[in-house]
Amino acid sequence: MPGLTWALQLATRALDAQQGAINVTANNIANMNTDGYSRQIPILTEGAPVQEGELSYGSGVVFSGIQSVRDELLEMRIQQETQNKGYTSARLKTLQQINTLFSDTTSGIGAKLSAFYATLQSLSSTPTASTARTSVLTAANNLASAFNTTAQKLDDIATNLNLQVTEDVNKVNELTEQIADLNAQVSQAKAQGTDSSTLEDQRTELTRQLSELIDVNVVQTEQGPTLTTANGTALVVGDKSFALSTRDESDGTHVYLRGDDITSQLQGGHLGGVLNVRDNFIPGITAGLNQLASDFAAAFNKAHASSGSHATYDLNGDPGGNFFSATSAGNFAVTISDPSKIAASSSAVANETGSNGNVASLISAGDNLDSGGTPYSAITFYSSNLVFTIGNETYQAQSQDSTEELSLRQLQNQRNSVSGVSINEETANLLRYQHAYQAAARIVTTVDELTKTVLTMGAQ
Amino acid sequence: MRVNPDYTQDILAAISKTQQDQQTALQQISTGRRVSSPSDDPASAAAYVLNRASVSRNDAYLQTVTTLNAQLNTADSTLGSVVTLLNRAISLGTGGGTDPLSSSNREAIANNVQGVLDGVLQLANTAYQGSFLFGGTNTSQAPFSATYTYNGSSDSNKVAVGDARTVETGVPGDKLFMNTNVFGSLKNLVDKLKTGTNAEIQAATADVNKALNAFSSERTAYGNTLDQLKSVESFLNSNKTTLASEENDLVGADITQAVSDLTQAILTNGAALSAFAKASRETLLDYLR
Repeated sequence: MPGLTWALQLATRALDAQQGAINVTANNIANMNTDGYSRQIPILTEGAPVQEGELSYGSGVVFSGIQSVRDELLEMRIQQETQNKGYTSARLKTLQQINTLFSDTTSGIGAKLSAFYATLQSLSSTPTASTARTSVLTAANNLASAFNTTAQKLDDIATNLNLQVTEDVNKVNELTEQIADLNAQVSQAKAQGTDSSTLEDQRTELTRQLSELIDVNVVQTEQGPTLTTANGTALVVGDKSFALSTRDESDGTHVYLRGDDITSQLQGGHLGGVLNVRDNFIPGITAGLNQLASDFAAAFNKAHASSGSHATYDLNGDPGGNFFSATSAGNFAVTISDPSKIAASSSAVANETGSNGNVASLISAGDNLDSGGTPYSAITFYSSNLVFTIGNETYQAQSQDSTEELSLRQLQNQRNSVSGVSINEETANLLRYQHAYQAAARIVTTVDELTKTVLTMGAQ
Repeated sequence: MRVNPDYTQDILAAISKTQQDQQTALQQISTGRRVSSPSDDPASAAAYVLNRASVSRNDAYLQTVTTLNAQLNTADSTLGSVVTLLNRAISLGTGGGTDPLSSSNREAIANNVQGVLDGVLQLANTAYQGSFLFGGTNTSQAPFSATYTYNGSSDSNKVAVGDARTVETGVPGDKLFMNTNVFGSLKNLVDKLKTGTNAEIQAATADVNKALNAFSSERTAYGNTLDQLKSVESFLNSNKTTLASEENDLVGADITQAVSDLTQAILTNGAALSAFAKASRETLLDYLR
């Protein structure tokens, strides 16, 4: 039968175990607001029993380790959802910039176009008045600068997106390097048999941050998780990371991984969202705008310039020439600067300069754009459709983003319900461990008293 | 089941949502508009672009009507003065052709009629804001010479005052003064008063009267156009009202709704804030003393 010292040993081990549990609790409380932290629980196990004849005595408690409470499946879904959220929020942010560009109903292309028509209308009733002619030119120049500014702003947004691509790539490289480093540390810890849960927490958090930026697939292997992107090329294998690189090309900044251009394959995360708007949405808008600018210039020139059966004359009685020049929205310009060069007249008789015979065809020029590219014959329908396209895309991006945000938050709530630190729980645990510690300490005191009793036995 | 111990994210999201709602409602109230960017309501924003174009076109037509009204009224009142002058010539001619008058008296009457003729020529060369009113599409040159020949054109401008409505901006001078023989008959009356017999003077006066009738009937075109412009103007004004109410339907804010939304959002925001304040106050620690 074990003696008093046995009980003392048991009590000491119990003190150690409860002390360890209190440390775990303290660590939980300390990290309750740390991103990506999973609460830990102490693993207390019963000591191996001691057999003595028929009897078996418990050998107390063993502090056998610390365990992080984590649902791997949930972590993976959060990582995927984070990627989606990164994608939708990057798209939304960028589209909102474009949306704002088309919000202004007083200085946009549509408004300037209407103002231009109004001056033509007033030219129609006073075709020789220099004020009316000057206003037509002023309004035409305003229309030209509205085209130019819109093209320039779209261009600026695209340029800005290129900078974001470079910035994202730098962040991705930093993160993959850190993850590779952690992989090395985790496998080292595992080889040495030490606890690696803190490192794993950090790695999970960094992977989550990486997912926010780029499509990431996580494959668990013996050497730790392998991270691949887009076309399946690896970003991180074990303790090695592969850096992305960027190259500026004519249609924007491209992303390369191990020599391959993976730009068009990046479909997720912030980088994917930025690339989607830059490469799929903006080019469509720009192309439409360019088409519109050159079609309108061509149609208006056709009405303004004298040719064949369509004879037009300016205030000096000279045949009308081109009014606008444009091959794109960016270079849309008014070619005439002398108000008397506006060909309002359709009368060839030298002194009939007061004729307004051509003004009606100038006004209706924008109603019949003969273009294969634009689906709308009238310029006003086109600009209305442009506003719809941009508004609708932004609207959809908004609702997608809020959906993703909601599901991400729900997943994070689920994760927190598994891994989050609760003050109440930790406090209750602290009390439990404290009581157990106090009781174990009491055993030490009791054994001490008993030992004293034994030692003074017979001395009376 | 273990619950999520950290409810701050949920409450913060709720607070942020209610603040967003407040902002939206406030913006609607302060701007009076429900749609301030295309994404607020893509279909309405697109329709609003067309509405703006129609409003602008309608305003331009109204502007044209105002310009034409001024121009045509000037022309019509000028022609009214011509009628007065012609009537005066007729009464002078009638007087000169009936009573036995001395030749010096006839000479005086002839001079008076010559004055009428000069006056008519001057009126026929009236310019409005630098453009001659009765030269057809030749507006930069005086249409009638001192010898009563017509230098203007026989064409007149048409101006759109609606999407499918045009009006003529005037009657060319040759139609008004030459075809009606206004100058010719007056000139003839002057000559006959100087040298002709009573009968000849009476015939010449009758010609002036004929010219006046022909002239008056040409002049009615102005009255008709002015009448048309009046009805066009009232149509354009009512169209303006229609377009404005369409604009309001498309992008205008329902202020009553917005105010009620704002009140609702403030209430919800307050509720979320107070929930946060209450819920985050207590833990087990508060009961362990």
